[in-house]
Amino acid sequence: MAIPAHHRVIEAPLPENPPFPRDLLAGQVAVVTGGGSGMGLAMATEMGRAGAAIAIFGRTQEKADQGAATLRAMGVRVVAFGGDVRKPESIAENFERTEAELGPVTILANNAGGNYPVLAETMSPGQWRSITRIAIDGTFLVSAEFARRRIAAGGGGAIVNNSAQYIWSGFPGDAHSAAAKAAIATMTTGLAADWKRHGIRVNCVAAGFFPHAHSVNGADENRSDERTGSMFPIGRVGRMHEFGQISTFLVSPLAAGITGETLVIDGGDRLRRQLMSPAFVPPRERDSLWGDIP
Amino acid sequence: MSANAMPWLAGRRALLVGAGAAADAVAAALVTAGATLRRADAAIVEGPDIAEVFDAGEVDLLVHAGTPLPAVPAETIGLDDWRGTFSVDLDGRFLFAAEFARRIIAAPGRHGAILFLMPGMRSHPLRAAAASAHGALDNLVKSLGVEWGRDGIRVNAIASDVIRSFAAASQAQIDSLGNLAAWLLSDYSAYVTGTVAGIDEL
Repeated sequence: MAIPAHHRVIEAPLPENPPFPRDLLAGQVAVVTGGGSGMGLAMATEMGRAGAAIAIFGRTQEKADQGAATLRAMGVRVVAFGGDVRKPESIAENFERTEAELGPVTILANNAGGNYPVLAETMSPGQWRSITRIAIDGTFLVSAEFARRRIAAGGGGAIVNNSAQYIWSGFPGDAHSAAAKAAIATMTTGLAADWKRHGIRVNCVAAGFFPHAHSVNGADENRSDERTGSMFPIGRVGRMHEFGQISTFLVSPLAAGITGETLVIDGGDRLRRQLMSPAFVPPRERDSLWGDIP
Repeated sequence: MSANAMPWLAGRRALLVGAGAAADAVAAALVTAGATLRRADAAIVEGPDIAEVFDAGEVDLLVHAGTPLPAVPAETIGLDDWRGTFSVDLDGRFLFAAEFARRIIAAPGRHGAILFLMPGMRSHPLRAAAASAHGALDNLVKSLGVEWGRDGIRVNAIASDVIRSFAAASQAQIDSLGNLAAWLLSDYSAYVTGTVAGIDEL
């Protein structure tokens, strides 16, 4: 649905006008899991633009290298490694290689994850495990490796986790990710409390629709950003740099007193928009499991 | 780290309603971020008086810090005291927000943002009336964020014990309160509405 011209849809400043000075994160090293593309790459891009050196941990070396090429072209100091965030040895090895090349890691962005529509009763144990373990186990295991190193180095450091706007409601056809993303938000509070005495801050961003080339909702050419945007009170989809910037804010010295928080950036998506809704159709009887874009 | 090099609010005109150390810290942060600032008394809760505040000059950003509310055992609160809590806190916040929105809506091409400051959402003894008012405000933020979503008006809140117990807050927490307020009011947060953020509520 087209948005009427008299509606006021406000865009944030373009990426070329970033909110942070180029040296805000100077001297810092940020690990970004799942940083080869999509939202992870957006975090890596904005942290790199603010002066951090970046280590991209990708599912494969090839995916990680793709993200690294983008950052390198911007003049960001970057290394890239493939690995599995479900495997502690793989994580430790990539931290070793990162610190050998860039120095101590002081920032961690946990973004690795996946999502796709599937009915709960048809979901295989393997499907359940892959989504929940990458998100829940991966976020925990990478965070723990990061924290052990920060504590051994005398403390300090900041973590930002990538969660989602649907963690308070869940939605049908998404049992795996709805559960996993909510776990990340409560884990954020728990880890923040555990590591506060070490000066390690842990925060979270609950993001709405940020379509990109690799997202389940953004790849379909029939689902243009304009049509998708009409679903939201704010009248547009989120822009990748907005997600990267709010994540950068949280790990930066500007947020030195902020910990245990989940900031929401969703254009009002998660909020009830009317008391009456279209007739409920059981997910099993829908043409499109996650619903249709207007 | 100050927001000196970050003029997030350059050219924006802010009105901050309410007093107290937390409100002062936010006021200073908005000016550092480049906003021009006017202040008003949170005791102003009647429609015509509120309109008069806005008549004094256009406003792009509204911050309402509310009114300090008394600590009273719930079983001793009389009707007048109970009602008074909502009259001086919740009513003023809503009426300021609505007047602000009417003026933005009436002026095509303008956009604005509202930020409420309130104590953290954790329960404390003797705060039944205050907690009710702040719970109402929490859901008011979510309602107004949607209602004015296509009017270019965003509505958010910071709910924090840094605001409730400002004297006990660390410098990092105080600085972060100011930085977060400026961030949420700036156009860099154009996709953030209907949210209630904390500082350190552990």
